[in-house]
Amino acid sequence: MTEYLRFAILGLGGGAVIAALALGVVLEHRASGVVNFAHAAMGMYIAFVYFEFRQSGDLVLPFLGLPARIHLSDHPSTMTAVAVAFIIAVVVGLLVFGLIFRPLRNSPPLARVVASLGLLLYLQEIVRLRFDQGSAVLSLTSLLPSEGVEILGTTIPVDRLWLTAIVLLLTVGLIAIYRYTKFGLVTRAAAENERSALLLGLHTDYVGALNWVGASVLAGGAIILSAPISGLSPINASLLIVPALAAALAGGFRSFGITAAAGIAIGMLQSVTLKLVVDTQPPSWLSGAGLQQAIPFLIIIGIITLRGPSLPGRGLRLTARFPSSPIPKNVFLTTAVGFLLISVGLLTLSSQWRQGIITSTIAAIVCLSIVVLTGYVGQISLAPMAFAGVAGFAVAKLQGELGVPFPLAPILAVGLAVMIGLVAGIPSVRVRGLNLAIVTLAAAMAIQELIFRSTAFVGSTGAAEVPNPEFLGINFGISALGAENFRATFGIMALVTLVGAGVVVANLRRSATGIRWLAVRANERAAAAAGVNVARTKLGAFAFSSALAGMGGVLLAYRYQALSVESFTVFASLSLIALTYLGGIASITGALFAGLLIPGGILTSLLDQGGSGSQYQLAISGLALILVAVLYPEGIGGAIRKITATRKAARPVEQLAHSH
Amino acid sequence: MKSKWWQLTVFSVVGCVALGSTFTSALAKTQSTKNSKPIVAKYCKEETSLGSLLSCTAKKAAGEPVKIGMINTETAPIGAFPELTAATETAVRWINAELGGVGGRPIELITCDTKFSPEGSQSCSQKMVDAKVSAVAGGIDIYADTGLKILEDNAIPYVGGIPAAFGQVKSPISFQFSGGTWGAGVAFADYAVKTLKAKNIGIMYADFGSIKNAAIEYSADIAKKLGAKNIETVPFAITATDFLAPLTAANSGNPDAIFVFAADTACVPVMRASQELGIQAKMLLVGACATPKSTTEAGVGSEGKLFNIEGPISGGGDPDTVMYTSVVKKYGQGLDPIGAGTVSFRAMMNLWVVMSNLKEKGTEPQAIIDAFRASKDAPSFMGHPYTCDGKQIPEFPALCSPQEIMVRYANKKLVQASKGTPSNPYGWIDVPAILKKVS
Repeated sequence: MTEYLRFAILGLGGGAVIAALALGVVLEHRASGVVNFAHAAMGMYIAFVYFEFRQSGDLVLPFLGLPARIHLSDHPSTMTAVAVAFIIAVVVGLLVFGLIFRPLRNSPPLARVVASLGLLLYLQEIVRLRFDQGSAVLSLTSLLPSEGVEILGTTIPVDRLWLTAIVLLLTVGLIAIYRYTKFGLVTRAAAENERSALLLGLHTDYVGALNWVGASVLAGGAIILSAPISGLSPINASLLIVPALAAALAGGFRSFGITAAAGIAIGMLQSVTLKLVVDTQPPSWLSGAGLQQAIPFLIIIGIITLRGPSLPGRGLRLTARFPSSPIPKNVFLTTAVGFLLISVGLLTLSSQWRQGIITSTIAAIVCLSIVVLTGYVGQISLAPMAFAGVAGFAVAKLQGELGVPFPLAPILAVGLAVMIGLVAGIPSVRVRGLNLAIVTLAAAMAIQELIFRSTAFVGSTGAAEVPNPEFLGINFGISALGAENFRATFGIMALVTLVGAGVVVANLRRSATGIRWLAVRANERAAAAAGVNVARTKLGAFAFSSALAGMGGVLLAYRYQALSVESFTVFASLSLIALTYLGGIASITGALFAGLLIPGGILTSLLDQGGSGSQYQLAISGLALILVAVLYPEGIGGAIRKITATRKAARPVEQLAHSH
Repeated sequence: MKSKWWQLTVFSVVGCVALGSTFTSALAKTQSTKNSKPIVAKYCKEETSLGSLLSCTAKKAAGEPVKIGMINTETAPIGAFPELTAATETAVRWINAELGGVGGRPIELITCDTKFSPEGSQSCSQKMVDAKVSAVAGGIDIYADTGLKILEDNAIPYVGGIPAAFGQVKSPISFQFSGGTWGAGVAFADYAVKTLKAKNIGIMYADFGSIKNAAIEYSADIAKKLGAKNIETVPFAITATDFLAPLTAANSGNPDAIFVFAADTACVPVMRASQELGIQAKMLLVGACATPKSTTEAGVGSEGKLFNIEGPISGGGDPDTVMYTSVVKKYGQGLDPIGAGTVSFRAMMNLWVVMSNLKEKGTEPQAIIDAFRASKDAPSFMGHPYTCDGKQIPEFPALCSPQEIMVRYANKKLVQASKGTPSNPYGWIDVPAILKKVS
């Protein structure tokens, strides 16, 4: 027992970093109702600025188009570096609030998720473009003492204790500020009801800006202090958002005390799990590190699901704001024309174009699953690629290892995805809105760590080989020699799947099921009062959506021919959701738009033809995500509908004018 | 579909997957070569791996270009490694300017960025097929398994790079001049048991496909077969933020040695933590941790640490290494001679030697594959002679020279730890021989 206690203490440092970041996430949510996926990335950029200035005296700016760096000092000291980092943190906080999240304060929650994903991508790219990467290029000098001290018979560097003490002090400070000062009261008032706060003469923007500045400083401070312990990598630092979100969720995005305790507990739990893994030596098919990563998330899923309806209502209230969902029209004609055009493209264009079409087609199928679950039923699930991955790996296992023939293997694989989807959908009965989004994120993490890293599922190399789909002697596979590769036959198989899935979705949307879906999305209580079985409707949607994602996963497996966990991670899901949102999350055309936009898809093929690919492409993509989310919070589809509606509304007036 | 961000995570690991494969000349000091004389004139009489192909007069290539591809990850937030492409380009510039290209024809390097995605990897391979390249130089590509299939189907050789995917070390058209993580694992086991006389060993490793495979099957298992009594294996998440717990767990059985298989970003934190925890066991870390920056950053934490490398240490006067620094100085266009670029430079030079020796058949992909496959103890640029018979490490037939050298960081510099002999002055650890012996 003492041993486990010792390892719990060793986890204090990691836990304190998670807690510090989680406190910032809570601050941002309190200020703007935002779950900011880019929070840790903000801290990461600030930390890079700090260490770069400390080393070279250069201030590295984050704006594309402006000079990359300004030389400020020939003899930078720790104090000046801290001052520069603080100022940058303030500026970053103000800019992110003022330019992104303030304009989005009344937008649908998904618009904010998309904006934060855009910000995450942009910051990661800026760091890649403007700082030297590679093996520990920056000098990461610690601000804290680091000699070892003995506690319960174990040696622990004192900087971990300092980190924990700082986080605890911060937590107490934040609790005091938000409970006993006018600023805290105003923040709470604005969070509860911004309009009433404004009517009372409170400066909600001022309050929001201050909260964002505080969050930004916290993020920067957390990463600067932890970098000498953990190293500084753009990806690892950005990924700290995942456990931080879990901690913030445990605190209901509201309680500083519970959030900090949960963050520290996650770090300690991961450390104890490591000891358990070493002591018990679990079977080789179970990833030891996967267990360390997944257990906190499983616990959090359990707690949140059980707590269910008692969760805060902010996210709940906002989920009512979804884009309009038009009834599909001219389905037959549109489908026939689309099918014909794409088939001709597949049969006549070059291999690079065929590859783009295939990529877009498969992506559109997975995006359809997002349209159904999130667009139609209002359930924000951040795990579509997890369901796709289950089916993808399953088809590799079934067909590759167990010899189940095509097409039985993919059918069974999709069935497995449906089962996993149903299980993952259970929390949706009790958890809603942004909380459901975080729970599904946790579920995706658990699937990723426990299933996709299991050697029993993906093979000992972690890369599952997928055989060709063949039926009655016909090869439907993607491979061919030379320029014939990316075979049109495979493309047409994917296209037929997309068309079939699209037609089914369109018909369901027009049927009673579609009405039930929209009723649940609009107002669960009203739907229940009208006789809709809400739980059944939600679970049915989860199952159907998982089937669609599963079909996409199976096609991806046949397309890649070698699958690894990296193809189905949480962030793959997030990028697809962002694209679907941009396309228009509540319509089938939205999924098709998203398919067009997917990196490597038709749009990329087009850009490659023009030779316009550049090292700034991803950074510009991040900016584009932010801009579209801010300017068109209902996505491209919504914007087009709005323009069309405006024109229609203006027409009678114009006609009237002409008649005179 | 593209997973632009997370993964990788995994990708930072690539620095680790590279392991010792990289920093051959990382340990060499740049020499000043501020003259316009051809480099060949200075080194033609030295005993370089280029042998008689290195004439004393510069021969500029001319005529119809010979196409060679380069697939690498250059723009991705997960990790970008343009220095690998830059090093290959440097080699090509030198070859075209002074070495007469391939059969007198200049090399045209067609580069392709995978953008860190399976689609990108496949797209790049297809681009090479469409361009009818003679060979592809490898870079870092975590999704190489998807792209290599296309090169394999079209019998295009894939030469060098830093193995991050299993396909790179298993494909019959792939030829790698390093031992990757697996070579490091065997070398650690051999050095710890035989030289350090270690009986108890702790192994901490990032729990990721190839690293786990190497740590368990090519390090722990081999150490046991060589005579180690107790081995504690400690997996940790690739996204770990604090290495105290895994290091403490690895140290819990009072081991004589601790092996560390981790990403390059973990090097400094692990070395610092070992100092803070007062760990007494000898620590063996992957070659990626042996960079001057890492060892300097870790301060006293790096003193006494052992690393695997895959080329002679600086100061030993290795002619290839000295010549390489001159080439980088003249043709590198700002390329840092220290780093992973040495791997792709080595591969390009080895490829050039094979193509040149094939004379008129030098541009035929199948002829290049056959030539590599037939190689036996062929001189490798800045590396151990290679044999691509597929039997060096039978499970990974693409590893042509998995031999390693162990070095120690002592008094702020790296010194050779492997014991040299007159016939083996650099103290190469013969990984294939060890595997054969224990199997």
